[in-house]
Amino acid sequence: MSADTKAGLDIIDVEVHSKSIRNMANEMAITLMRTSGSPVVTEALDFSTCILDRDVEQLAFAGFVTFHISTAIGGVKAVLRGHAIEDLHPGDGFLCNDPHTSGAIHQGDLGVVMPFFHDGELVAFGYVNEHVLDAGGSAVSGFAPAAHDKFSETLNFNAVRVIRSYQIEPEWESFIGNNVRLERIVLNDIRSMIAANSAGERRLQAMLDDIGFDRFTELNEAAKDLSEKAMRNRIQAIPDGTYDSEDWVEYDGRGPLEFFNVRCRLVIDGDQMTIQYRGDKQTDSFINGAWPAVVGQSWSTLLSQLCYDIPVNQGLWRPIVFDLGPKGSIVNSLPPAPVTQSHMETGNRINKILIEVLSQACALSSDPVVAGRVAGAPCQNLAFFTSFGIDLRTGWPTVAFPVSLGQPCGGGAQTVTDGLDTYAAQCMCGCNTPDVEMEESSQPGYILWRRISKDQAGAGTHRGGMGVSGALAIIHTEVMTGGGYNSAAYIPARGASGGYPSGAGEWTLLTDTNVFALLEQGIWPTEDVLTGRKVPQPAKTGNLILRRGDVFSVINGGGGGVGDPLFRDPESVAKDVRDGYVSADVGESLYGVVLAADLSADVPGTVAARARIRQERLGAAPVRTADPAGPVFAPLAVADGRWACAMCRHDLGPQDGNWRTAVVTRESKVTEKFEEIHAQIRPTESIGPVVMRENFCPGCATALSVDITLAGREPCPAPRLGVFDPYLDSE
Amino acid sequence: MTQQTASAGAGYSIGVDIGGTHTDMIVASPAGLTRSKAFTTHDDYSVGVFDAIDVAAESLGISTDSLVAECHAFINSSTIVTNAVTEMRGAKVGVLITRGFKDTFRIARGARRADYDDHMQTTPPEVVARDCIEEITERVLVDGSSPVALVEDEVRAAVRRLKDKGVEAYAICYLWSFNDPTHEQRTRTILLEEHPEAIVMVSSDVHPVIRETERFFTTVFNCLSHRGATRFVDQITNQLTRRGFTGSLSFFQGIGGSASGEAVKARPMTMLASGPAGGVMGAAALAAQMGLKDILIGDMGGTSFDTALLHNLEPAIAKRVSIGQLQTGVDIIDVVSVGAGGGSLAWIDSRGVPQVGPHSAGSMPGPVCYGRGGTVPAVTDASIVLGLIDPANYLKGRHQLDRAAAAAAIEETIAKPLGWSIETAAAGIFDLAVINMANALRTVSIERGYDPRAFSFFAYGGGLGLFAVEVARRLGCPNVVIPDNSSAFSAQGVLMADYVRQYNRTVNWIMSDDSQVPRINAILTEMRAQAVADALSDAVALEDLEFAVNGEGCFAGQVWEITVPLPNRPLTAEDGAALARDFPSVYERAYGIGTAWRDSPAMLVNISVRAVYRRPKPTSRQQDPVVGAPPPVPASHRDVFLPEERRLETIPVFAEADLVPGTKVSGPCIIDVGDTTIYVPTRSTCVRDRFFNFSVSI
Repeated sequence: MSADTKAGLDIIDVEVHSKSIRNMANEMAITLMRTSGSPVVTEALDFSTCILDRDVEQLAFAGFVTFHISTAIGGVKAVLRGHAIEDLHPGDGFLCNDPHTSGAIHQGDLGVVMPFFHDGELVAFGYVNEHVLDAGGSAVSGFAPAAHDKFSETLNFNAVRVIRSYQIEPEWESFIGNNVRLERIVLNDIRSMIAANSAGERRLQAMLDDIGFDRFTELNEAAKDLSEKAMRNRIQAIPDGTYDSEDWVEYDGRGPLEFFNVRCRLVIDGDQMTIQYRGDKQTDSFINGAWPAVVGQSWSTLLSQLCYDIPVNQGLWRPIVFDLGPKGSIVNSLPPAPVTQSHMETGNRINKILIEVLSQACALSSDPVVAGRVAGAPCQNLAFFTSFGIDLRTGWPTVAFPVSLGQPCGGGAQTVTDGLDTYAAQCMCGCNTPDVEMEESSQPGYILWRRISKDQAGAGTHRGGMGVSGALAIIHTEVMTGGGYNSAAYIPARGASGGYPSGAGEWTLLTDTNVFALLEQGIWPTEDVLTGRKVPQPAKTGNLILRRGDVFSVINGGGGGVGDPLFRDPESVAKDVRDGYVSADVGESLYGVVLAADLSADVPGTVAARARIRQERLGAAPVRTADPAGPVFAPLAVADGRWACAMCRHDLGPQDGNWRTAVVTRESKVTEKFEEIHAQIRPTESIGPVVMRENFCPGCATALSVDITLAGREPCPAPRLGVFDPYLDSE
Repeated sequence: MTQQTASAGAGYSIGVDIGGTHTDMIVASPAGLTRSKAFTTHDDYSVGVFDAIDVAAESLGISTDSLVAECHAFINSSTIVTNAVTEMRGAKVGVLITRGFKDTFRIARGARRADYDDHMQTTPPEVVARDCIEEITERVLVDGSSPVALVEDEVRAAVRRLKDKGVEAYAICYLWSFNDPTHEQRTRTILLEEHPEAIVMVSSDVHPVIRETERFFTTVFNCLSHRGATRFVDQITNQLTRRGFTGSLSFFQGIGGSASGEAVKARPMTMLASGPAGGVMGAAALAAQMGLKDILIGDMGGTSFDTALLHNLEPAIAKRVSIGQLQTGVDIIDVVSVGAGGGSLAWIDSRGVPQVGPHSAGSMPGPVCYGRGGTVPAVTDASIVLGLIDPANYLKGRHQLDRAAAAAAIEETIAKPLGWSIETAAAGIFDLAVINMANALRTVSIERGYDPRAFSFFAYGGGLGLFAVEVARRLGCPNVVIPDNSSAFSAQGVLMADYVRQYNRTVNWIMSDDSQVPRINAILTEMRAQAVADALSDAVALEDLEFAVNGEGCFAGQVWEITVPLPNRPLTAEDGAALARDFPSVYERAYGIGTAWRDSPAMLVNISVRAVYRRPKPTSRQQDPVVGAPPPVPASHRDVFLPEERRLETIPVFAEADLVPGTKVSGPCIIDVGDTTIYVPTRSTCVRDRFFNFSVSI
């Protein structure tokens, strides 16, 4: 075939090669899945594998957890910072779990770097990372809500050679075993990571026997070039300009609730993208972001929303500049900042605001593929607990981490579909919600119920995905201690393009329950008969005490919607009402759908109700009519230097201004609004309300954007097309 | 078409594979194997089957009635269950489920696909309407205790409501029911009192294994496919009986053997993927005959390419297969299917790299050359442009193909954007089709630890003959076998396969704990007794029944198991000790030195008992190769743009009939077999072997 790549290589040879390397990373992943004993790995797929070349550039990534794309690079760089190349030997393995020094997302996600050798030469690096069930310290299973610094969180491995000749060194084995809560399982999981790396090394050696190192390198470089070119083409289809969004990280673990501002600015310049984050000063709790989580969570979004179809290798990174601003902020923290929830606190907010800026930008693209990538945010509240105690049945120490309760939050709505139910966090690609029978095998109690959470999905033309609510009764331990977590209790996930926010998540601890009394009477403790004392708890606590008979229950939020809910197909709303996923009054008040006696959509009634809602939105009858065939997922347009409503062509002011000044805005307290629609949210009395601002087109009353912000806060700037205005305070 | 053969026993045996479009049939008789083909008739499958019987009878020169009357064994495989579950069409299903867990089917164990693209993250299909799922008060626990009794009145009330809604088939789905099936069984009794004619499937009967999502979906899919499966089995049974059939009638299973009509009606999901399984078993039989043990298998159709692997003549088993995003507990012969058929479409991706598939033109509109409105070039279009297929003589001239239209589409879609010639672009499409097939074969071989260089490649299905040798070269397979009867190979396979029934149970036994041995033996005895009872009702003689017992073990704390062979006799305490002692080395053979877990006992999670009756099998035709056979005379010559060399050459075309066993031809050349075409590239030679297979050394 003709020469098509820069180096004159056969393009199809390059494709075959890049698929082979990808297969190696997959085989490493399969080995880990089959040998691990951690349900977080085998059921929730909370792990990744990666192969990097000698220059620490990625060749292939089998990310189930997509944010590990950054940790692989950080981990190998840490190994090379601390060790000369000639000091690396076959079978060496280095532990990396410190976000500040060895590239980890958080300390609970342990990376094992192993150099790969062929004929005595270092040829590549293998990287395997999984959430281990414990990493010692005050963090139970790697989360330390009460710690003030990283030293009081966990053991922190800064690329330490713990493995030689494919075996854990006996002294390290003893040390690690002496410092983690589950000696046996953690050490065995490290052995599984060795097995996964070894599988990759064996495959790579077979490949190099075949093609030799020079050819290997040549093909790798060509594959990177192809991914880079595709990424540049994708960026080129996004309009040049500057896009902004902001959000707040929540922390209430030591009394008063605090919000920490995080901002994202996206600058598109041709085929180059600059992603900037700025944030409040770093704090002394586990929410701080560090480079691996902030950049890793950016990749979670980029991979899901923008470059989902391009093979992952270093070429993807080349057109992108990540700028985390001055050191010492919540998005770019310095040691000794505690960081055990780096990924799920600041990281999750990073992920959501990048979805929002990309949605703003994509909505203005003339490329139909890119314009179709507007999306609501996933909920990502992840309301769960981890705790430690002794299992009464075996006498062994046990760590509880009931993944199936806290993980299944709803996904963001897409332009092609409603959001996925039980989507979990965006970074958790391919994750499962473990079966009740698997949970009851590994967790210290009974799952009392597990259902889809009603009314928690964000409304929209496509609504967000739905989350799960469930409860675990503690049965097999006398007492367990640990932490409770919720990353989005006060500020909900947003919709896009006029889609509505979703309910937030919540967990509840019930003590002094009647669980055993009911069971003795032969009655299962379902919601209607379960009683107990509800202990007021912060959303995040490092002081969770679970006693035998206590019940930990959760409601997980849904995802944000996309498009004005008044454009949703009425029968889809009726079906959700019939299925018990949406209350009838919400179907009417948010979607304007009226049901007939047989619970099908009453079409004339719906038309009338929707007209009434439009009138309420504006306080008067609309003067224009939204085009039913209009671009409902991109309701804002720019033409001839002016903003306009794309649904009715109503003018919304000059392009260099904020279109929000030209619309009808209705502001309400989120707590009050959510009470009306039965959605979950925590009140924020101590620091003033979180507000929802619905921005309606003054012409046709279409919801153009539903903003979530703090009362009194200036709105975010609108997209500034053709303007390149990066933050200039780079580090 | 009749071929000389030796057959087991007198009379005829018939194998049939009912596909979506065609019903393929092989009739084995003392005189030989006869293949026939008819269109599948979806409203009554027996019509298509009898059309095929008519064709076969005519070839044999006898009447249909005497063929049926003298037939002693009739074995079916079909796509009926596969279609019912992939299209979610079938009976109206109701579910009775443990209170608190109504949404288990909606949660579907988390339907998030391992795909970065958020547009691919769609809610899974609704197999059971939500208003037909009823929660019932009852509870069994992990230890088998049941703290909450079954509330029988709730069952009665729920069944009445469901019956009023028109539910025909019920799935009883209680948590931990495999630990204590009492509640499920009692529910079944009550249900049948309220709704005597209902179909009832009980999760602890259907799949008594841990992980409720898989157990419940298996139960529900059995309900869903029951009506179609019953209709199919009854149509075939009744029509054959009416026409005087008195032999044994059986139905092929995805796990690779056949079972009686009553058995598959009780568990329709056993028929899932039975067609591809037939092909694999046929390959096993052929390999045994040829003295080969390690085989890679490829079957190319219009939309997909199916691959499988035989190691030591044993097929790999895919455990707990998924139907889309929905996970079941059904095990089938591991067949990997990729979108690489003759209809797979060529396109250019966002990086400017040409791709083929997975999208397909299907049979409508089909490739551009069919002239039915297709505009995007497909693999078949490339084969036409290269000259590998004669457009005037496709399928013996039944289709006229439009070469010019195919060339124009390739020019527009691939050649122009990349600045290539049309022929180079067509060769590129050919290459990519080859690569996709080779990658699928890597999935079943390299990715599972087998080196394809030690395997022979068996290639069947009408379209694969053009690509098979190039695919084998990519993998380093030393030789390719294109079997005689390649186009009806799955039907031939069901005739070659054994009677097989498999039973699985969760036991969770720490192997060193000898106090548990009596419990395990009691379970094994129960499973064997079930196998014997089923064999008797399937009219299999007990002395012919063989048992294979296997366990699935792991280190306590792991969740994935590896297979551990068990002795076929009651276990002793010494067996347990030996199994526990040997487990770490079995494990390290799979995963490498230093990987065995420490301080964690070896546990046997599940046990499976497989009951097999080795049927007498017909053998295909044989003829001693002619030593020093003269080279055959080409039937014609054709201009072909050789895809692997990117140059035009006039090459010979041989007619199949001219190639008697022992004849050898060298590439580049084409062999025309009528319903399939074989391309032998440069540097390869093809020999017709004693079984009339085309054996190509790469």
